[in-house]
Amino acid sequence: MIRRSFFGYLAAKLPYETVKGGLPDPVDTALPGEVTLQIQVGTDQKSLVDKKKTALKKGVEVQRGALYGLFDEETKNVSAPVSGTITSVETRTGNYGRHFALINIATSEEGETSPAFSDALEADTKGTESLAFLSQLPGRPPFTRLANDGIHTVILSALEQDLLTNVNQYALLARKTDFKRGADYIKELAPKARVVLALPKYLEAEAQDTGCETVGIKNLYPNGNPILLAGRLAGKPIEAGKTLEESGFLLFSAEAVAATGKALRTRSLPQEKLVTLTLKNKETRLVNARIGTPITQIFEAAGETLVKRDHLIVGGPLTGVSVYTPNFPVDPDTDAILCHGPENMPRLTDTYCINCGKCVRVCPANIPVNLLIRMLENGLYEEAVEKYDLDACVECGLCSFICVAKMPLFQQIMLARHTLAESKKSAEMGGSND
Amino acid sequence: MTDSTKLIVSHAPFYRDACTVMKRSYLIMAAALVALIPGWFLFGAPAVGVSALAVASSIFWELTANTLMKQQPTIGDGNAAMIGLILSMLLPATAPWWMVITGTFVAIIMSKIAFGGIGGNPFCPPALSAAVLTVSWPHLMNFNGMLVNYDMAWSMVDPLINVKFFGAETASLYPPLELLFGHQAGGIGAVCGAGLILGGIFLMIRGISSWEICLSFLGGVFVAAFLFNMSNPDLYAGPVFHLLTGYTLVGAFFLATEDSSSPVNLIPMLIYGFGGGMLTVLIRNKGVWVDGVLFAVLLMNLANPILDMIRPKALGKV
Repeated sequence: MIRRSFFGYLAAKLPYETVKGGLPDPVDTALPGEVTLQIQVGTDQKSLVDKKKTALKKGVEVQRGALYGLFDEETKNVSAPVSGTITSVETRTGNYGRHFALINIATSEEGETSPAFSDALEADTKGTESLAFLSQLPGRPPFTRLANDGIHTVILSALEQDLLTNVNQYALLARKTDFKRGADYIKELAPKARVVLALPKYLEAEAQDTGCETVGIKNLYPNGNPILLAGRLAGKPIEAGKTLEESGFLLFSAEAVAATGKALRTRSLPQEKLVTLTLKNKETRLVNARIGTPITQIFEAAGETLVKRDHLIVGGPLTGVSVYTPNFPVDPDTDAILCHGPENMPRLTDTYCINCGKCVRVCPANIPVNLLIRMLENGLYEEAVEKYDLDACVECGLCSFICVAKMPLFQQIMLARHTLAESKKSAEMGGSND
Repeated sequence: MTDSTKLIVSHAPFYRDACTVMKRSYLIMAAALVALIPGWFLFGAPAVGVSALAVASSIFWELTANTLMKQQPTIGDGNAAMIGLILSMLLPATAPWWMVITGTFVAIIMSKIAFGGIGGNPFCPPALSAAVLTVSWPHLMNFNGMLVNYDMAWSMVDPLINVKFFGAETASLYPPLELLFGHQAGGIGAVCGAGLILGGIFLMIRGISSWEICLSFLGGVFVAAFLFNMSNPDLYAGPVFHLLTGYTLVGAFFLATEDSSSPVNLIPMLIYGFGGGMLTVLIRNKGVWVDGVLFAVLLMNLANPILDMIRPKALGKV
């Protein structure tokens, strides 16, 4: 899995998973009895959910493939992956105080798919309504933002976001015709933008018949990082502190593009998410699961049971989040799920930085991490941005991976970035920073 | 969604590199042993005694400090033992016991704990300690006087003293091959050039000592000694002599590369190492002291914070 070179002066080599050994056969999981949909909400919206003032509430019937609005009928932001009845709407608070609304749906028998999507396509293939449907596809393609004038490059990425997953490479190879149809559709939607397919070098020959401009990239972490990828394609790095979109880039994962192609072909929304599972014995499985399926069911299908004190990670070993319950759902952008027992918990210490300089060598953004962490530990966040390039961080987690003193570097960086974003937001709204 | 099965949560990343502070210290000690063991064979039981006492008293001082300051014991990370072992490389085999204990006191308490423990020290602890001992008891750190009872098959006159006071032609008494095998007077772990080079290469390829610092330090010594030698071959010995005598190799691989007192960016590392090497030869040839490595390393430690401000622009910064 992770090869550690004896020659430590070289940067840590973390290769992504590949599909070189032949395409895996995805395991299908059964239709879950209950699914959960997660939507990120603001603090004000959270109180609405808590007071049960949502449009989607307990007892509402939903139909598979139809689009609903959580708060009102106008802004439709939920697509039901199953037909059934909503059993409850609750909230949870995630990392750095982000709030999520959770909609639990009890599945009824697999009924008719809602005709809403095919109707929307009938009316206008490129209309806003069709795009609203397509934005709910696995991989969360940012279709609604494609119409922005500032977008000059659309990246279709077959590189993975994290280690221990190969869903995008799989989607590109196994769903090539759908991928081509999806890519053509995106090209039609953004006629002025440059559409580039970024993919691991070894797949370059395979991707020639997709008709896209391709860029082969070494299959090593963190080359799939969106900001690094955009910088590489543009020939110059993205300005520090700007998001991908502000700089005129949009990123579609290969799986999302393939799902778009399939949606256009079958005129119904695909709602199966490809997920790479890593079991406790380090075996990996590719799984095809309905969006919203509780993770525990997926592990059951793979023959693994989660017990108390296990560690369940959603989204990959370097940038993922660990979750507190095995009933956590599969989101449209969950590429990897891994679990391990408490014996494999990474140890953190409260040792000070010993200034060995490994983080500085490994950082893809040239941040002086050794000095930055001294600021962050003391809460000097503004100074960290001004003098020590906190805003240039691409959030790859490598500094924390390599740290000899086992400091929580990545956590400190993310906390600082979040705190700064929050205080900026409250300053814009006229509130005070404290 | 909640369930009775409670899982453990923590923050990313969930995979971490296996190298820890403890492993790092032990690897450095292993590399130091490659040079120390030949020294122990050459100088016999007293040398082993000095090393053992240095390690033991270092650990003792750190544990005492931890206890007095009501902190968790930090001796487990191996850093104190490592400092003791490196300090013993610099001492003569016949160093009295009280000097070893004083030396480790200076290294652990005054140059490490006083600055906040591991990672906070502005100077390399063994170098600072050895420098304090050299200044305080010059006769006890003088290898001619200290090793007078050793009767070996080769010249037991400190090569640096010989060259400094009797001219460069005395350097021919010390052929490089002999120096590599430790046939000279000097510190316990500083005499065996071959062992130091092997240990140093090990540390460099494992990425523990920055190769930039090691090689630029040796480069600095070489260039400076070469220039002096060119200007006056009668007075100043050649570069190979300077590379293989005194503390040069210990300095390059073990002292200058000490983590918290050395820079981490490429250009600062090169300047730091090269400057240290140049200063070493300058002090040896022009200064009062016989060996300049300790003072050169300490002077460059002083410049480290300013040097390390030379760094590449971060991604996307204008």
